[in-house]
Amino acid sequence: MSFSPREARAIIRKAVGRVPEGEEIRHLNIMPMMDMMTILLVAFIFQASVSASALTASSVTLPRSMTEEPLPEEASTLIITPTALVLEGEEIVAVRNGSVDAGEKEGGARGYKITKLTRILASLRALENQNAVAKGREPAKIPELLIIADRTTPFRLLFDVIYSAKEKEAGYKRFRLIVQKHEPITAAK
Amino acid sequence: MAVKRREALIEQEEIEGGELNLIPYLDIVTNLMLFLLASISAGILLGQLNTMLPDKAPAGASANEPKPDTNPDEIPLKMVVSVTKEQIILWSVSQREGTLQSPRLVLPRIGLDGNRCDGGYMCESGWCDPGKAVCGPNPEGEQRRLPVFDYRELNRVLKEIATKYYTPSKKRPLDTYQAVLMADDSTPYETLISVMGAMRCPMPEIGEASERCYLPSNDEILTKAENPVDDFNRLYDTTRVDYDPEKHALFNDILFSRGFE
Repeated sequence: MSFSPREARAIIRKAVGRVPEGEEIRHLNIMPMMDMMTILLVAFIFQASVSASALTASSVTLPRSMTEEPLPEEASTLIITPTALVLEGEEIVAVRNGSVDAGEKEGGARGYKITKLTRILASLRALENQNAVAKGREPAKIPELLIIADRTTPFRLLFDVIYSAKEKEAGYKRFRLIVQKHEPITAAK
Repeated sequence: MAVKRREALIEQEEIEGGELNLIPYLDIVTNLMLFLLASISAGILLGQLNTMLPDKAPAGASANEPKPDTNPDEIPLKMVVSVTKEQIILWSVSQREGTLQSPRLVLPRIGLDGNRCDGGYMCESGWCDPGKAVCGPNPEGEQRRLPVFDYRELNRVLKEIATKYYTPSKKRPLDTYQAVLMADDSTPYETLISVMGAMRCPMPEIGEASERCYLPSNDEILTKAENPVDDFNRLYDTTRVDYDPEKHALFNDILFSRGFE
């Protein structure tokens, strides 16, 4: 089969004409999608880093309970990890072998009050009251503190923490212990 | 030949034009997004238990002695649950339901491998086999074994006590819902939570789903409301509703204590 130069040019033009059609597909506008993805990614990474610092990675294993009470909307959170007491994401006092160093407590090893914790909780509560007033609300009549603790936390440490928070300076009166909801297991039939 | 040349030219233009290939970037971002979405909360359902420490009585005070003319049913039992390393002891300060020397109930440790369970909280290993509903070695790796007691028996006896004193057709005063939880310093948090769970509300039988119990309240809004029961928040007005141990809390007002001074 042979073509004249004119026919050959026509075939080439036709073939070349097909190429730009593909360019439309190559230039699909994916910028909005990329923007959205990048913003979401940054938000998720930020969120993950905040919760990671709050819980100091996965060091806290919550105990399970059948309790059905929902969580309150607003309250300060204190986390007792096996290595530290963490308040609102910041490490306050170190924990070693399930207890706080005697030097951190008023009265030494036999004392209950963790001085630094009481002081920081007092300032946190003052801040909470200020925020409430700024929002045109009354400060909480019965200030509450959420406590998240590792399942192995000894009673003595929990007691010391609640005692410190209940001291007059800090003034927390109600404590909510956060647990993981237990779903009952039934034997397979 | 000319078509090939033209295509090569376009490709060359693309390379020289500096257009980035964003496909790998999009792949990474999409994978990260999926991973982060899946890892958020990891489906953990949270609940909460309320508690507080008892206030210190002023020197010379005689621990809230009731007035002589008080109705015996309205005198708080002052139930105490003492958790030691090896057992749970149930007794009362009022001496109406056992004393420390002669307790109402003593529960030794249980939760050994092979015992029946309906959740990890009933096993020392923290693992309840979902197929057989028995305790066993933890397949997720051996964790520290924590003491476990027969919480259902504790719950059953507390329910029996509440039924004995506050039924039938009786209004149960708010201060009678108080009980003291006294524990050894080394008692782990998980054991405390399980004991508190057994003290607060009637527990379902093994394998049955739990239902949120109604808590007593003297909330001003509820006491003035036409309906003395708030089904949404699961609260009831103790002054207008007869006590029902099947639906209502047992001893939900729990005070922590390390002993007597």
